[in-house]
Parts: sequence; C-alpha cells; structure tokens
Amino acid sequence: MKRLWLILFIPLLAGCWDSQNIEELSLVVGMGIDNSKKKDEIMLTEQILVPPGSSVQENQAQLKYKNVTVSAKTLHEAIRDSLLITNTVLTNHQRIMLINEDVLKKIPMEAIINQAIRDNNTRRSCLVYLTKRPTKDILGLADDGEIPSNVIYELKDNENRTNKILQPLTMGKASSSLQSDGSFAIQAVDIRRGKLILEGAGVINNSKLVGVMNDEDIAALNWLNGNVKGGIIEAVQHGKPLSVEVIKRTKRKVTTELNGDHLTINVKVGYTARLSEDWYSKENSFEEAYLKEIERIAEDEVKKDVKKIVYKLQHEYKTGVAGFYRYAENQHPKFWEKNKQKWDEVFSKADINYEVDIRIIDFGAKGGVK
Amino acid sequence: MSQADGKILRGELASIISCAMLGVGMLTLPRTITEKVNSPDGWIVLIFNGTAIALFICLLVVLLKKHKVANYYTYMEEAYGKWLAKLIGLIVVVYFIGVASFEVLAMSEMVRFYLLEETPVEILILTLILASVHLLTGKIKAIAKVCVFFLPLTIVIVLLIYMFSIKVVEIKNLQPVLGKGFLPVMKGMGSGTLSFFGIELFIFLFGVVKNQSKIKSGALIGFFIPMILYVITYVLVVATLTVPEVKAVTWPTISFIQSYEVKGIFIERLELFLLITWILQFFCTHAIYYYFAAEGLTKIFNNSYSTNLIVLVPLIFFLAKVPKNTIEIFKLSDLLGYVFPFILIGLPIITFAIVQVKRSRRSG
Repeated sequence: MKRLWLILFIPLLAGCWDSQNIEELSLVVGMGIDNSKKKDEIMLTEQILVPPGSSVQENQAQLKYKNVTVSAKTLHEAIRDSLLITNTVLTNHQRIMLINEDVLKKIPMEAIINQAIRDNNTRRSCLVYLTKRPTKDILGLADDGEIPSNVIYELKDNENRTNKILQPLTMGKASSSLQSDGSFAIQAVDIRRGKLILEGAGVINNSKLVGVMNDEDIAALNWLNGNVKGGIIEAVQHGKPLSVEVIKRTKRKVTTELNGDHLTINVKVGYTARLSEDWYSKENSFEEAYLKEIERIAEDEVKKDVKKIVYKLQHEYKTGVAGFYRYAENQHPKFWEKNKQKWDEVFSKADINYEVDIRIIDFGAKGGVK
Repeated sequence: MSQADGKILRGELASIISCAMLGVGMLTLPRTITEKVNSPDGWIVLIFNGTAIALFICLLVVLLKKHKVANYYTYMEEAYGKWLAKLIGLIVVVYFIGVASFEVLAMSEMVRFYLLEETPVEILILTLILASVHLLTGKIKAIAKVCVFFLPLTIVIVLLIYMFSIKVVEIKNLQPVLGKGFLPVMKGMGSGTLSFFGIELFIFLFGVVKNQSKIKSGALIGFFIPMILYVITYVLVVATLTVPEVKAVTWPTISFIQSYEVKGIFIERLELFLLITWILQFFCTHAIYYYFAAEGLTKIFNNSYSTNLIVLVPLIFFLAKVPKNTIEIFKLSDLLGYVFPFILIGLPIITFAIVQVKRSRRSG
C-alpha cells in the first residue's frame, strides 16, 4: 500500500499524446462547397488563418489567410485530401460554411452538412450561407485584407439595424429543421463592387433548393414571422417619402384554426416605432392624428409586402418557410399527425391573415409644427 | 463533530447519492427518453419516474428502519442463510463492478471523442481507476468529502452554462404537451433508468450514517438534486434540438451546448467546461461504485479491504475493455438497466418479507 502512490505517477504522463504545436495546425475559419469539374465530386475550399509574422518578406502586404481547394467524393475525404497541401486541419473555430446553389441542386443539404454535424470538433453554432457564385471566389475576395469568413460572420450582427437580413442559420438549426422536414430560408452571400454583401436568400424544402428570394422578400418574410429586430419601413405620404424606424417588438401571436381540412393561420405582430424621417413640408408630428395617419400608412406598407411574400410562398415555393408548421403541430396535434406528409399542400391552400400593429412612440429630436 | 468514527452526516449522504446519480445518464438522457416517448413529453416521464422512486425511497427507509438494519449484508444473511446470502451478495457486487466499469468506459469514450483523440483509451481508464483506488483507501469518509466538494461546483458550472443557452432555446419545440395523449408517456415510464443509477446505494449506506433519523431526508435531497438537473436538461436540450434531432444525436447534451457561443467573456465555447466537470462526476460515480464493490467483497469473503481494492483494478479495467464500439457501450448500459430495478426494488422487498416472516415466527 505504501508504494502504491508511486504507480499513481505514471498516468500523469497522459495528455502528451495529444499535444500539437499551434504553429503546425491549420485553423479553419470558413469552408466553401462547390461542384467540381469532375463528375460526382464536390470541391471544398478551406479558409485557413495565417498567423502574422510567419513570412519574412518585407514591404509586401501579407494576407491573414490562405485558401486551400481540393475535390473529392465526400466532404471528409476532401478535408483529408487537403492535408496533402497544408498542416493538420482543425475545425474547432470554423465560423461559416458556404454552400453553392449548384451543389444543392445535385446533393441534398442533409448530406452536405452531415459530416460537420457528426464531427467532434465542428460546432453546431457554425453558420451556413448560400452563394450564387462559386464559394471559391467569395472566400478568395480579400476585402481590404480582411478575412472574408470573418467579414461574412460579422455582417450578421447588423440584423438589429436592417430587416433585410435573415436570422442567422446555424448548422444545428439547419440539422434540426432538416430532421423534422421543416423548410427554411437560408441567407445568401454575394460580391457587389468588390465587396462582400449579404444579399438574397434560398428556400430549402426537403433538403432541396426550391427557390430564391431577393432582399424585399427577406424583409417581408421577417415581417410575416415577426422576426424583424430593427430596420426601416419606407412609405410615401402626399407623394413625399418618409421613413419609420422599427424599435421593438411588443407582441407576436400565431393562432391556427381548423375548418374540416382547411387551415387558417392568423398572425398578429405589434411593434413600436419612430418617425425618423419625413420629407413632407407640411408635417405636423406634434399632432396625434398626424402620427396615427403615419402609423396607418406604415402598416399598409408592411401588409402589402407580406401579402406578396405569402403569395410567393403558397404558389411559387409551395412551402411554409415561416415555420408555421410548428404552430399547426402544437395547436392541432391530431390533424398534424394525419397530414404530416402533405403539409406543403395544406399550407399552400391555407388562408393566412396577417395583422400588424405599429405604434409610433416618438418622432426623434425634431417634429414639424404647421 | 467528531470525524474519526467513519460515519457520514446527512449532507454527505445527500452529496454521495447526488454524485452517484450524476453520471453518464445526464449526457444521453434526452435521447434515451425521447426514443421511447417519441414526443417532447419526456419531462413528464421524468417527473413521474422521479416521484415514484421518491415514494419508494420513503417506503424502503421505513421498512429498513423497522428491522434496524445496520449492515445490509448481515441482513441478507439473516434472510437467506449464509451461503445463499454470499451468492446474492456476489451478484450485487458484480453489478457494482459493472456500473463502475461502465462509467469509466463512458468517460473514456467521451474524452476520446471530444478531447484527447490520440491518447490511448487504456491510459485514461487506468488513470481514473488508480485515482479512485487512492481515494478509496480513505473509505467512505474520504468519498463523502470529495463529493461534498465537487457537487456544488458541478451544479454551479452546469447552471451557468445553461443560463447562457437561453437565446437558442425555443419553447415551442416542447409543445404540444401530451399531443399524442397519455399512452406514449406511459410507454416511456421505464426508460431513462440509467439516469437513476446511484439511488440504490442508500440502502448500503444505512449503517454508516451518523444520525439514523436523518436518513430519509438525506436520501431524498440527494435524489432530488439530480432529478431537478435532469428535468432542466431535458427541457433545454429538446427545446433547442427538436425531437427528431435529439433522437439522432449521440450525446444530446453536448450537442446542445455546442449549439451556441457566448460573446463578451474571454471564453466563447462552453462545452469544454461541461466536459471537465463531467469528468469529475464520472470519477465520483466510478469511485462510489468501486467502493461498494470492494466493501461488498470484504463483507462476503471476510478478507482485507485493501486487497480487494487492488484485486478489483484489473477486473474493472478488463471489463471496461469488453465493449468494442459505441453501440456495445450503450448495450452494456441497457443490460445494467435490467439489473437495476432488481437491486433497488426486488431485493429489499423480498429480503424484508423473508426476515419479517422469520422474526415473527421466532417471537411467535
């Protein structure tokens, strides 16, 4: 017993097996997936951080990242093939994953993110984006020497200022939605005038890309969902533009009603807002009636957009991207069990009543008096 | 407060039971229950199971107190006679060894997958076993002290981690409550037993508690701390991952913590902390079961306790090497799950009945 503690020292050596030099690791911050020229293969672009000061060349702007592109039949094989070019790949800090539209036309999305979800290092909080152009170009765009992955990642923080950005889609969320056959929208990234830009979105249904949206659609979808966190409603009064800034959501209520097999979805959202710009020369924002009028105009504007997107969802994409299936499932479980397979059809025929209530609570630091 | 007599206090009893229960169950529980129930109502199952077991604990305490049980093994001897009691005791010991092995194995599996890929699993297992041996030379009192120290730490860290998850939790994923009626909930009643492993130990702790009148409250407190944590865990995990996804992921609780990041504090990713604290919990659970296995052997063979400790090292080690892959590990847990009700419910009730008959005959 007395010498037993000597043996206890041996395991203290554990952990040496897994020591890795950080300079010899490739820290991946972003990945892009494209179709390869070869048949049945996908092309993977990894964006790897380059630690500063590792190159000795003077007066040459050193990029903070490097991209490695390989192609293989499966994603994991591609990652392993990239080891022929670069150091051991570590995906613990991967922030984004870009998927090209053409890939989704060929391969179900579930298959594409499968490896990342299974992997022990990639986190479920990694964000997924869609691209029109090859992801290789997007990840290769050195925006003022910044790392493209980080630029894209940080753009999502603007959702409090604009309603033209979808809620960030994490890998975990995507995986959950794909498991429960829910359809969802996925934010797209593009290049505009040499800059990275979040623009448009894709609609995914049953792991396939069934349509694309533009920025107005995204804003309207956010309104429909009550996901708007900020941004502007542009409207026109007496032929002069005005803008209403959204401050905060005050309520959101989704109720579903069944009439036989016919579904009615009632959505009610309420927001507080501010009159932030008014070009009308005879404005009178100290009058309550004037503000009430503006509220009405803004509400009509929102309703008009929402009507358009609802029409699009029901007739063009034929799927409920807005996640209303959850409410149907929760409020009418029996009906849901019966019509689970036909949900898209049920949704396409459903009546959607949308009500928005915008309350203007202030008009900034200046209001007109006439 | 004399500490030298090797008796434990109520708080120590509670933390031993809590630490014994908080093992691998917490990391897989949302999946095992949801698989059976197939709806987000698993938390109802948990609460039902918990209440049932809590009531049963009260009953057991009453029964064992009535017979003034100081040591379970001698009590069994009174019921079954010398040799049969030894045999049953041996079965119980084998179960203890099984659980101890399983916990150390689950720990090594988790560490191998998430933390140390290159390190030989044998080293991980051996480290934990030897550390346990070192702790166990101090018998139950030492374990009690370790548990009292680790339990609050675990609870605080886990709750902190959970607190940050609020932004990814969507409560509507937990609805509809009882959407498929009561039947799936009834079906799921038997599931998730793995998470309750540990509660059966209070039967064996009867003799070492200092204040006999506080056993019931101690056992119940020790039982409800993990229960509450389980319910919170289940609710958060299912609300975040949705039912179909929970059924698909191997370690739901870890996947759930990987679903969000925290901005603003110097560390963004929290699963590391969960893994670290959970290694401590694995260690506690393992050490406690190991202790009872060694203690049981001492009672059965009347030999020295430290010999048994040393003899069990290779046993536990090789048993942990038997399952070859993740599926077999989960199978082993199912197997232990079948023995568990027998140890917790069957054995005490039968023993009580036999002793009751014998004693009444003697007095009559």
